[in-house]
Amino acid sequence: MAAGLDALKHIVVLMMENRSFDHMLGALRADDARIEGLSGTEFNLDTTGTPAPVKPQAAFQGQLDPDPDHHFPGVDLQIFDGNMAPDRQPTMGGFVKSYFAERRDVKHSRQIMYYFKPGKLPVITTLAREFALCNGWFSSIPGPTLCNRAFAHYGTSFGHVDMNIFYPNTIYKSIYQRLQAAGKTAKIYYFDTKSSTMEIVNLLQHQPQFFGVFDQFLADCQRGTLPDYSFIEPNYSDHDGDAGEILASDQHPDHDVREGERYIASVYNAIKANPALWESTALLVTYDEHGGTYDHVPPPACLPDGFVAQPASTLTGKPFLFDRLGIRVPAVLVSPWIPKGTVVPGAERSGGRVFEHASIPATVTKLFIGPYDERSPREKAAETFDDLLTLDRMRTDTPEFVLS
Amino acid sequence: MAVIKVPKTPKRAFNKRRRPSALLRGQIAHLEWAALPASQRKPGSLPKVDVRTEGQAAERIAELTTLILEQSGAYAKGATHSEQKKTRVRRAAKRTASRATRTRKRR
Repeated sequence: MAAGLDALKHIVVLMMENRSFDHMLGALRADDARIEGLSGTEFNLDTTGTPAPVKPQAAFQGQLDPDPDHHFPGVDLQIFDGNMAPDRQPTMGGFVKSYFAERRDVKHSRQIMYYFKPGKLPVITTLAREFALCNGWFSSIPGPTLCNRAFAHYGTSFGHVDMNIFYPNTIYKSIYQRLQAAGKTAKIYYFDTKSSTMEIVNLLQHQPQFFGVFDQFLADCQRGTLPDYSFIEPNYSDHDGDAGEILASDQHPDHDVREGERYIASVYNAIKANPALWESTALLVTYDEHGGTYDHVPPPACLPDGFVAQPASTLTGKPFLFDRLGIRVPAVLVSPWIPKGTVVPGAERSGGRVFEHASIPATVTKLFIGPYDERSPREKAAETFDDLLTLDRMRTDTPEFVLS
Repeated sequence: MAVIKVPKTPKRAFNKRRRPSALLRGQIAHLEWAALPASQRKPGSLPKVDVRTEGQAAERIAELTTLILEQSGAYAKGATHSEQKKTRVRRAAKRTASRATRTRKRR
């Protein structure tokens, strides 16, 4: 076993909101051909039939208002460009048409193809270049936030493809319940009470012991009392706090992306500031889904989840068998035991590795619990990421973030 | 070792009067549902959400989160809990009950 994996005692997952791989990191391909980003020639046709190319003109705020569609039928249009034939193939050609439906403004709809220049996102691009960037991490469902986040907590959405999530009779336990039953520790840190937790209200209601706030995460890092597994939620709204105005840090459109960058850096800094914790922790930064922003990689087929969403839920006139992943999102694994500049090949290469949000409970279960059968088929089949900690000697050249 | 400076987000980015996203509205609906007495909860039927700004959404989310934690007994175990917070929780519970009644009447 590699020394880093041997030292691993904590996994921390920070899940941001609604940005695709290409939107955030697509530009990195220009510097490193191993990264499956944008060549600059990708385009969609707008509603007048004119090509709308990708452009490095994404803005921190103000460009994605109204919120791009990322509900199941909207994402279906983005992936298949309106083709409903039984043998249809994903083309990633319907993003501009989908965004046009929000404001019926052709010029505005073309902005969905915009992506960030790396210099505008110093935190996530530095982490991607310094640690392990997954070329093939996909959201679990071609749909919105809540069903996708459910895969991170349960390894399934129990047949849901929408925002109406209820778990009255869950047949699989959450990763937090599993860890507790195995004598391990887990915590979900939401930002503050005004931001609270997203999606897992049933856990908040019945297992409040699993929850803490972000200040507690910072204190736990400092004291060395971080649980085996931590899931961190960003701040989901602009609101007043005790010390003044608090900006949303989730990067959900139309929140300012810069505040999310600062949040990612503050999580990284908190872990790194405690040397014993830094040595024994892997931090995964990922996004729940693409939020309607463009990505050029077609989501691959996957093992069916054992559930079926009926046409009344999918709103596409077709059932969904959970046999195809959602759109690709950024995913960076951070640890001083990962070689600098690791790029994990994805679906673009034969033998590449495809991750999805079920990879999170799959990895945590593998590391902290061991063999465990009562899981969804998707989670059992999911790639795990623990093997990316390959170094035998801990790095000392990892970056520092200074928040001004 | 690279030192990366992360600039401050401009104050003008803050807008608590922004219309709440579907995500925030969904979050409130789930919290409202969870805060209802068990006999009034119907899976698949979420309470109506009547917040108009992100700031209002955040206030409502705080009330409901506190209420749910209070109901679950999370605060009972050791944590000191001010009278002010208890009053807020009682007020939130009252509002939730009255909203539930209004929602039923609309149907």
